[in-house]
Amino acid sequence: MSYLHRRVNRRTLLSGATALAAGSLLAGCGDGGAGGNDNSAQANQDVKLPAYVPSTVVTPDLPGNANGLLNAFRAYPSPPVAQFSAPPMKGGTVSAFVLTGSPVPPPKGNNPFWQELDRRLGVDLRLTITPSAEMATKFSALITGDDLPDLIVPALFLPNGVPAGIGNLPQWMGAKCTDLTPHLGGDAVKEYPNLANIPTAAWKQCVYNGGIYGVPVPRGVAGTLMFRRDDVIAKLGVDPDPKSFAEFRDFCVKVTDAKANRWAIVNAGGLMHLIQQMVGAPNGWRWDGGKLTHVVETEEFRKALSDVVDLYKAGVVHPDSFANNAPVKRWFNAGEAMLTADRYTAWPQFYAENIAGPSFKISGMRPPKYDGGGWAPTWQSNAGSINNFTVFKKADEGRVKDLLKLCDYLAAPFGTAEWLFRRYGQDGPHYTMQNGGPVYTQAGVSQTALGIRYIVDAPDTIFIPGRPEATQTSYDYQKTIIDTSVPDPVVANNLFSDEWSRKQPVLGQIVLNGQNDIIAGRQPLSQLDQVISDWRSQGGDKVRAEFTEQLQKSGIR
Amino acid sequence: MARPLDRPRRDRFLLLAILPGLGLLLTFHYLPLLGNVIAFKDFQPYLGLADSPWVGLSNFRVLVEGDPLFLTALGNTMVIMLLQIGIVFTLPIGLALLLDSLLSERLKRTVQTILYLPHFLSWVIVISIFNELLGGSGPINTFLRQHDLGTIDIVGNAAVFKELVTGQVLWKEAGWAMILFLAALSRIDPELYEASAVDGAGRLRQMWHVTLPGLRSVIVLLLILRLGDALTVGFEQIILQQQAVGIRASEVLDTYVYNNGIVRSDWGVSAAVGLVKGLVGVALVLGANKLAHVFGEAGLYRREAR
Repeated sequence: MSYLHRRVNRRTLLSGATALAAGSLLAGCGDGGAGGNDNSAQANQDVKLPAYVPSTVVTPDLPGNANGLLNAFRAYPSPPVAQFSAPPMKGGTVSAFVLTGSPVPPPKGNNPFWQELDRRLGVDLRLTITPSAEMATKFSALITGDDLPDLIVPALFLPNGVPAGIGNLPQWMGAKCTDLTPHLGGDAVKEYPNLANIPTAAWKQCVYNGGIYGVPVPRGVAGTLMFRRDDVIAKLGVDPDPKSFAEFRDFCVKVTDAKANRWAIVNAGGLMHLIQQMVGAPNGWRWDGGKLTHVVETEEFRKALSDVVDLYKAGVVHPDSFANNAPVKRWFNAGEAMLTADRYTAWPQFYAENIAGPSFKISGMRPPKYDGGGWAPTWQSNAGSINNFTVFKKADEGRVKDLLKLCDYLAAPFGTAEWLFRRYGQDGPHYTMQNGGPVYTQAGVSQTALGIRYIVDAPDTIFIPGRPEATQTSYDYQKTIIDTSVPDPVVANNLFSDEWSRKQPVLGQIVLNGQNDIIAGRQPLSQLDQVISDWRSQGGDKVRAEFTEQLQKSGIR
Repeated sequence: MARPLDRPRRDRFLLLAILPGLGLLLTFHYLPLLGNVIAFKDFQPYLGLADSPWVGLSNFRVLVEGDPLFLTALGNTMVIMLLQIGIVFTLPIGLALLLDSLLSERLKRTVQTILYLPHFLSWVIVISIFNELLGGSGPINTFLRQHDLGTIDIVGNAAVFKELVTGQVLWKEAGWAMILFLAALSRIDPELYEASAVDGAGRLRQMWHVTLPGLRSVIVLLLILRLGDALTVGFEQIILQQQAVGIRASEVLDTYVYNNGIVRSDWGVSAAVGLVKGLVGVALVLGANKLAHVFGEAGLYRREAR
């Protein structure tokens, strides 16, 4: 009941209507007091995070480090380590709302992988599998009804790739979801060794309302990098490692040959990403201890944008790049473009889908400092170190423990038989081992795309199936950038701003549309002033105030 | 004199038979209409319909106060609507007349099939075809580039976006729209042509005095139907190309509702705009129907004379 009151208060307060009445109600209800719904930075900082006990079940070929360098494997351990001798659950059903980036798999009746998964988990797993593009709308629909599944992946991204705005997410979680702190905080997590194997940074991002409200799907912090077609560039005889912006511009012009259907880069967005790092623009936000500045407001952003406009005019960007859902991966694979900015997880995908045969070779291009003289620090992932997290519907203690056991199974680390089954299915019908790496069969591709990897996952690893030398390249690249890489201060400190969660899509679109208009030449560079002022007036300033308050209160410098 | 319950009793099986259809209509067409209530609320999905606070007419403010984005959307919608009614609606009539004048029955049928097949392609495919063909790296531009002829900039060029959109609709729908007119043409009494020929009318005069009057009622009917959703100028088609040309050139009312409601989570305003758009549509249909009556056509419906 008190929760309901609070919600109404907050709404009225936010809408700015009847501020007086809201204020008095607020005082009456004791907002900000102790309790499950206090989502202040302070309360969140005090949470006892799960202890980190790295798994020793499998030893990696190339070891990671505490800064976020991932473990790497040249081949899948053979034979894989069998970690569990019995199913984690004993009958019953578990329902989950998950996402998938692949075509939706066949239903359980026609899906031997799903049936086998049920058998190994010891449960009737009922999944609502939602294509990632529809997550935001489906999630909104899901939470309007009260019939929640046991495990829920809160929405992630909108179709245009901008994070979905879920206003009042913490309040919703406080009301409907389980605070897992008693089960996972501190040493309690050791009961679930595979969950204890998840790094602390990932857990931090599951903290809301002063408690642990979910289990994470950890990823590297390495974030987006610039992929480069080393095989083609070598043939062209161009130096693949420019040492300054001037050299980079030179590189772009040299590898571009429009008559041969070849351009330097798939899109201008990738250029923006790279050049901002060259000029030292902040990753998301700049916090100098007293003032918070969003990247769009910085001189560095303007500088990068003007250079991208120039490069775009010079014709080094693929001419169809502004089309919706431009097939950038295909262009990169087909050699129509030499560079594409993508997430680390694309590395194995490029190898799996390549059409150039065994000579196919890619690596990452490090951004040099703009004026030369060394390498620029790269940006860490703006999602922090997770892909998403999964919340648990409110349930009694026994049920929560059972669900955590299930999650423990689903987080079995790389190298185990459980991981291999979870990701690739069964040897024969779903994959075959080739050169030390599993390769999907057709049935494997469609049947295994259940989205269970988004419920919870083991820490990510670097592993490019069947291409040990590519694994080495990927590991080496990450090793060179990881120690100097910079996080988004807002993400790194896991700050929550209601305005940000609500307005991120609007603000993201203002920037993206403005940026595209300028790069495509529909608007002059001076239009950026208008973009910044729109961004500030439509929520940016308010977001800044909310974040600044939290940063100051918790004394982050 | 028949008792009032005679007919229902007689037709009871027929009446029963329409129940499932009626149920479907009510459930999926009329019930969701109640959702329009969010036009008057500050709707937040997780609060639900009932708990979201009432905000009166404030969501409609954008319509009168002129949010620049809304005005852009309105302007673009109007231009595209005029293009669609002026060109996309009329061209199939001409096409039908041309095809009808072909003598070979086989040729006629072949041409007709070729023309209406694109109707069955989804917009995603149609736009991919246009992009692949006319895009910067498409075969036409590649050819031009290889022969140093300079490239043509159509896809992704904001200046010709409305022309491109119209061209796409024509390619996809003109052949399909033509079929109805062809059917109407075949219903015109050949004797009328013979009689007019005897009176010494040439082909042009025949078209003016026989063919077009014969088509008139169909044209009016279709025009009224078209006016009802005249403000719906192709959501899927436009949203799929929006990124390429930017919001300014391509935002229309439907995409505005989507971008505002789904993408920016401003459900209330979007519902308000959608609601007004629906009302304008109804007004257009009623107005056009009235106009048709003035010109002595049956129109969409007519109140039975008692």
